[in-house]
Amino acid sequence: MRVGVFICHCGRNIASVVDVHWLKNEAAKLKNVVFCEDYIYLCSEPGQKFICEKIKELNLTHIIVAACTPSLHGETFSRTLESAGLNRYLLEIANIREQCSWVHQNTPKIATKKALKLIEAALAKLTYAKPLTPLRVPMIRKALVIGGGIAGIQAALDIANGGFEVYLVEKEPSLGGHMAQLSETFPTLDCSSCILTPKMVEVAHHKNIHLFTYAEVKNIEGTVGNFEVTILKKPRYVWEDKCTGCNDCVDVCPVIVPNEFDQGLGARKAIYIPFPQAVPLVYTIDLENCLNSKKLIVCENCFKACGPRAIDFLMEEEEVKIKVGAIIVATGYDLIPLEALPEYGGGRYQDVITSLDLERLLSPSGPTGGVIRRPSDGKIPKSIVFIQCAGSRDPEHGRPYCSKICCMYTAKHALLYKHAVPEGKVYIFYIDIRAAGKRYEEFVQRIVEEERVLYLRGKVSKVFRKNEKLVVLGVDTLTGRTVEIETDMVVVAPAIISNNGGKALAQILKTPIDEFGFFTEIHPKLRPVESPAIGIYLAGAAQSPKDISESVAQASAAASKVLALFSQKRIALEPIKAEVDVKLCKGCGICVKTCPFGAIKIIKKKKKKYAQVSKAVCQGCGSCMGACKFRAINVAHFTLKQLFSQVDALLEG
Amino acid sequence: MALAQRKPLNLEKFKIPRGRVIIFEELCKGCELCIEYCPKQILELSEDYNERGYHYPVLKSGMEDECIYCLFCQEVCPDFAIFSEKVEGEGHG
Amino acid sequence: MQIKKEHPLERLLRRERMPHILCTGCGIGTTMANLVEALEEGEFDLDKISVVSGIGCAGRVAGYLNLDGFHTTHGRPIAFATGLKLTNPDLTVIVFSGDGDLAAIGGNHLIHAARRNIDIKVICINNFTYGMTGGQLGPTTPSGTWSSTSVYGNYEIPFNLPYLLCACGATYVARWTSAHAHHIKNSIIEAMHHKGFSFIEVISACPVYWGRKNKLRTGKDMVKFFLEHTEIKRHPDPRDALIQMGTPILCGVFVNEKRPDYLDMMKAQLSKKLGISEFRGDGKVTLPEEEKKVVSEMRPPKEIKLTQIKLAGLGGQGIALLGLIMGRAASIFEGYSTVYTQEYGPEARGGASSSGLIISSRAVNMPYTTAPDILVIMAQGAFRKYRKDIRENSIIFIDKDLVRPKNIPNSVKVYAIPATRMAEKLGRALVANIVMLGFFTAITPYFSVESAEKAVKMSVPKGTEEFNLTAFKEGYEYGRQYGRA
Repeated sequence: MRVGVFICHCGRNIASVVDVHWLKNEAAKLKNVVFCEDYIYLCSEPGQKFICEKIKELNLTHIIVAACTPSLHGETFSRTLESAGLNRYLLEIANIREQCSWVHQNTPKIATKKALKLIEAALAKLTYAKPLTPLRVPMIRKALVIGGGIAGIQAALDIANGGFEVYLVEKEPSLGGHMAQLSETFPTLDCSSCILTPKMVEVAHHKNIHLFTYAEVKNIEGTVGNFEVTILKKPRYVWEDKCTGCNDCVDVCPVIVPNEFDQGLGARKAIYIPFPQAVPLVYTIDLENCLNSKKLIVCENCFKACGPRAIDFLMEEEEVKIKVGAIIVATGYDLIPLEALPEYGGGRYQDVITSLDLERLLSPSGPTGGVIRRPSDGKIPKSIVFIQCAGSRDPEHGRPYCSKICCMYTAKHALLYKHAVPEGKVYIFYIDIRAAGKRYEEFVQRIVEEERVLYLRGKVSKVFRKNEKLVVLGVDTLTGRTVEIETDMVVVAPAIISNNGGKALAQILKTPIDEFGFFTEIHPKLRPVESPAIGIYLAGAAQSPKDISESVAQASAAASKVLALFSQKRIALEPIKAEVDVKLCKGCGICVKTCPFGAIKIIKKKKKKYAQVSKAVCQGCGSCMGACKFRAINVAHFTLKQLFSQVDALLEG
Repeated sequence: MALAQRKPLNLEKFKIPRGRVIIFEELCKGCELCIEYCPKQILELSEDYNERGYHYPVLKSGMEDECIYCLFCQEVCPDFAIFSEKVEGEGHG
Repeated sequence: MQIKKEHPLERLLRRERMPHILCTGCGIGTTMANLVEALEEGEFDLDKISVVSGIGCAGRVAGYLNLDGFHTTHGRPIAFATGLKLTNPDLTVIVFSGDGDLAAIGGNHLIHAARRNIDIKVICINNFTYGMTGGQLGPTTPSGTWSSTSVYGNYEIPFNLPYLLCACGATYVARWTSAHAHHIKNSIIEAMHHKGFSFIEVISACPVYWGRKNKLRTGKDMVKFFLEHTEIKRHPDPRDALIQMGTPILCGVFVNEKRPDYLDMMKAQLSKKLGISEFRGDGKVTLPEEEKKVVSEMRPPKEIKLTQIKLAGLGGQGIALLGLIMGRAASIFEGYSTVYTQEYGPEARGGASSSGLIISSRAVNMPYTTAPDILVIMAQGAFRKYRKDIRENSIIFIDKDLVRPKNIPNSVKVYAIPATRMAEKLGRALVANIVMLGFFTAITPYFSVESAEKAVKMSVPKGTEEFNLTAFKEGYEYGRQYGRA
């Protein structure tokens, strides 16, 4: 064993606290160390070259790098060893920055001693290290995209155009997500449906895309390259391959209920399509509101009216099992409900509506044919007050973040309202105007200047009703005065929240979400579309609030990650997996229960019961190793012997 | 507003079918199945008896126009004593 | 009364026979309404439909529907329907009856019709009881429940009808309750289009008997009970379909498969053997040309008095065939009227066998030989048995080696021929009867040689005609010695 120790200054990060020269001299004296040197930036190109050359020159067999956290440059240094012909698992990194110099800045002497201990511990672990080879398993080169909004649609199209099969699962009866509900998009004022529906149709007809609508992901097992996914198809009670979209059933259905797609401002029947351009164009029966139930059919109006006989009340939910190699999460966003904003009259007054409600009123195919009307009496409002940041930037209610898109869409709404009602008055209460995207600032400025919209910098404290009108009490911080505005309608910009089915989907995926419910990326700057779980990628507002251009960009980014993954037919899995010593194992099953991934099972061979680990599923977390009383299971590269020897080294002396 | 509390603004675009219920009182044997399962609950038992001594179904007052022509009463009556006729010019929700 | 309007289904009902006998809340009435509705919705040709029902409350239904129908004896609607369908395959035959009629007394017809996959549609109203006769338990009464013959609770396990029918080979089996109008109608329409044995079980209320004593006093209560205790599945397993109190009633379409029905299988098999490709459907079959028999208008050649001939011997000697050939020779080829009967014991070989033949130039009224004029006896045992029939002027033909005629009047004419030995010499003892035939032909005046030979050719297995004719000639030549009787 010929160990080389390389100590990094990390510029001033380490060297200003730890005495690297003393450290170098001391470390050189350690057992089996044949080379020890310090260097200013080991992670740099010359730094790595330095390591590489020394390995070859001195026939080093094991390497210790004392530097920053392995999370940052572990991969870098592992590759360095490989390029020098050494197995990458014969490397140990002693973290003398995050775990030493950065946290003991006021006690450099102690920090230096600790740095030496850390190197000793690394050496102890390295003594029992074995060279390991990655597992190569065949990869199923098909992808799953969860969510059929613009992000999911874009990701599915990119992967499908790349030549691989995609399963797209959407929980609503139609594709489109929230983008389908919008009237016009900023800053170009493109009609939202007009730019979205061609993509929806492309998805429906693409030979590489298998579309599941009105379906949810129920369970996911396995790991990157080999996920086993169970999809639950909810029963529509209408056969997709028979329905021609003729609408005869809707005419005779006797049940009228509010339409979720129209935010309740429009109606639908119990048998319905959410909007006329729905993809797939197949009707769905909402059995909750239908006069029938699973137990008893009394009304057959739609059944009799259907020419192709596509309606079948005997339909049951169906489970479909598929195998994929990568998953993209594109579940999108939701808005907080009006009831969460009682101070603005939300949930109390009919004429206090959300921005999404206004989108439906503005939409030409919406419940009012594109005319803004007050929900209370149907009259066209002569003035509107917009309240921005309703629920966002609000640490007191647990939402300190900015919802990003509201400044832009409020400006857009102001513009569209003024075009429709030129003499109407618009007041916008804001804190800041965030218009950072391309041509966004110009868009807002134009509205401020040309449209004679009054921007009031301040928050609203209360909204209440006075006869037919609403009164808004707020403050204008730039003049320092309170403001009282009598208006016909109030439009709030509610905070954006994640639409991930509560925590359920995150648990199924075994990928983390943050405290607000948004899916967490592995690194916000450098790896924004990858989740910490390998093989699971993120796209769109599911990861954080963002607008359409960013969602599309992120979707394509996630798709490119998947295509890169699929460029190989086999995938290399890290060999840091649990292994069972059959001689010691008693087959007690504690590890089976402890494993969060279900990777272990007890088998019986030749009258002996023992645990067996599925290397494909094992994530190397070590829980089993901690639970086993008989010390029969070890995670490669982190064996009990290695870990105990590290502890011993730290405690010595 | 919560979805259920909102009143849709485009209700006049939605038409529902309408029927007129015809009852042959003398044929009825009082099994009450039509009354029990009418989805709009527009039938009730008469005060009078028919010649055979049974109470028969009658339309609840004010509900004469509420039949939605689902025909369940017609399909379930063992005595072919009740049916509904389609009324042209359907009603609204 | 405000009958200004007509019920939409009026044309399918025989109102003159209504009100029907069904009680208030009875599920049979609802199912009948569903059937009528289904026939209307499915736009079927009502002239091609016929309804058959049996005995019981459900069995009255054929009488209330304005369709060609038949109300038959207890347990027999399926037998009748089978006959109806076979003679007129263009008809759609619906059997509408109850659990007692179809599964108890009629159980045997049910399982065989299912096995044969006869294309009839059976709607079985299962109300767990024999309703019309007072609520007795039947093969579908659930365990533990009351009936008038199980006042302490039924201790039998009922039929699981879907499972039974499935096992027998029915190709469409469904079960619903009388509350499920929509599904019953769909099943009826599916069954009408289905080719093969279709069985729809409808669990119905009998509020007056089973319902009343099992705590469900009215039809309304029973329907509510059904709705709460039913499990509908898209593909239910018939093995789970046993009805037990406390578990849900499993409903759905259990079986729906395509298999050739009885008539298809018959056509397929017959056309292999007979070259028949068309089954005409009126019960007649057109045979290939060479098998056609021309029944010519033949007149008897001369007046003869009615002659009774008794032939007797051991089973296996061909006594039956001998009589048949004689009869064919005398009637088909000579023109006399003949009647031919057979008697034999249960043994295939060795037992007694006799046949009787009556030849007359006039129509024969009585089929049995009561006082034979001629006896043909080929075994001693037969002689002993029929000795009593021998009279003064009888004529008997015997096998010389096998029969010793004793104690008979002297006036009896006896003609003997060693038929068996001669047949053995020819090669097979089996043709002893044909040898005897030749002998008989030479001596008696009833048919000519030509007629006899034609009758032989027609009656013996293909390929053996030459051999048999040789045997015939041997016997004939022997008989020529004696001259005619």
